[in-house]
Amino acid sequence: MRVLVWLTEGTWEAAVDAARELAEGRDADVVLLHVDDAATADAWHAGPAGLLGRGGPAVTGTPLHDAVAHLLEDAQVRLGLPSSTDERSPHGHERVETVVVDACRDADVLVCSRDGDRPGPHSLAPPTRFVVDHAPCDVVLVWARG
Amino acid sequence: MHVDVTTTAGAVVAVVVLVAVLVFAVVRPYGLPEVVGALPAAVLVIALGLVPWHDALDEARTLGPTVGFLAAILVLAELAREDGVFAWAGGVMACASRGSPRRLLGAVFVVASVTTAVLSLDATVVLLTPVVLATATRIGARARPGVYASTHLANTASTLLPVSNLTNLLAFGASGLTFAGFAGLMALPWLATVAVEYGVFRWWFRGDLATPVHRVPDDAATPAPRFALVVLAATLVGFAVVEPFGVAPAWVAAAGALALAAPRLVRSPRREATAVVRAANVPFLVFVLALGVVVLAVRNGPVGDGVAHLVPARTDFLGLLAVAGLAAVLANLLNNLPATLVLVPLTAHSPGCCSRCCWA
Repeated sequence: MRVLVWLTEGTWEAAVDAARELAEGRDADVVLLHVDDAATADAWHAGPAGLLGRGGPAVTGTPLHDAVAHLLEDAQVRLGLPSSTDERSPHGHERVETVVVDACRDADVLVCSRDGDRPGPHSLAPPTRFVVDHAPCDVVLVWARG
Repeated sequence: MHVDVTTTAGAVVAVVVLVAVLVFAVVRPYGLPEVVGALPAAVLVIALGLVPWHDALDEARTLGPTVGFLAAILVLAELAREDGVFAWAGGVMACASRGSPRRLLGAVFVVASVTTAVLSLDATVVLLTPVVLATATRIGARARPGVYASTHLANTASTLLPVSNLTNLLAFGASGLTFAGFAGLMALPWLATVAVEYGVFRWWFRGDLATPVHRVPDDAATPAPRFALVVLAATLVGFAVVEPFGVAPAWVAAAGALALAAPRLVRSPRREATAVVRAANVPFLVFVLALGVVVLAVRNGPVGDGVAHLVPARTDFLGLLAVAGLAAVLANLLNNLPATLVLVPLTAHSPGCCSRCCWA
């Protein structure tokens, strides 16, 4: 069984816990997926770019990548089971949710978390709702927890 | 070769040179600093006779205090970072949030607004935004709202004080206001724009802000760098207190920077002096002066005359709106710095000379 765990900042812990419950004691191949948020990266680069004339070296990497690397490490530790990681970035007109749906094609189960911890439509942000609606595999959707 | 600045040919050459400087600054071929394009362009407009050399010197003299302030505030902000002011601010934001993404956004708005107002927008973009990202990560919140807030407030919150933005200083000199008078005039607009932006952010990022409250790490708070904070507070007070006596903000900022740099210079003179010069970003200072000369070539010709005709003579509210609209259009066409250099001398005796809030 191939279990894909979609990790998003702020809610990944609940998804990892659910994946552990699902995969423990089974012959499961767990993949921890993170898709970079292009909008945050754009905001990160736009600030210095707006400072006309300040020069400085061209920005190539960002601390955003370091933060993702730490998140994936923390998730593997919290999972406590053998797992692999899959870090993707949207290209061109791709969006985070379409990249996640695309990654689901080889999975038997997708585990992901709601965005909020209170009942109601706002507990699912539009990207998460899109993934739940379009994932071609089974979906385990859990409540976010702090 | 001599080109008459008042002819159509002169105007075309001046505009082409200005556009070339701006395109170079945006594209930065091979990662070269912007001054590599601006300085030869300034020499060119002087050599062509578009700007007489004595006018270029006058322009440099006019911009001198602003450029001096810029150097001092860049050094002051960098020394404050090295003394741990921004790391401390990150701890303050983390503790104030108590792990809530919504409260973190509120804390980022307060800290970014104050940082921009006191240390100018460069400090917020370059020094505070990485701290905001690190703080969001530490408390398990999504980085997007905070990173957007920090980079946006570097603009929105830069209207309060003459020292908050390079363009404020350019307009301040022509406004005839005192430092405190400028702050008093801009306080309500500043509060209003920051409040509106906060409301928009709460709505726009409602999904990211709905994530659960996380526990704040025990070691989030760092000790306050008291000396640096006292120096920054004294510098801020100094701006308002000594300005009525004709002391330029550059001297106050320089005194603050010197106070922070002194202990370091005593310990390791050569290394710290090099670091201070690097923090002052001399290429940027030269870029501002060179851009001023290039803009002067445009301002002194038919294009400047045309813009001057667009500046309304009326001194009522509609006149203010009209000049604010003109400033907004020019700032979006040219970037706010050259737009300010074009407009401030033309509007110095009109109601719109303090409308920089619409430019950035």
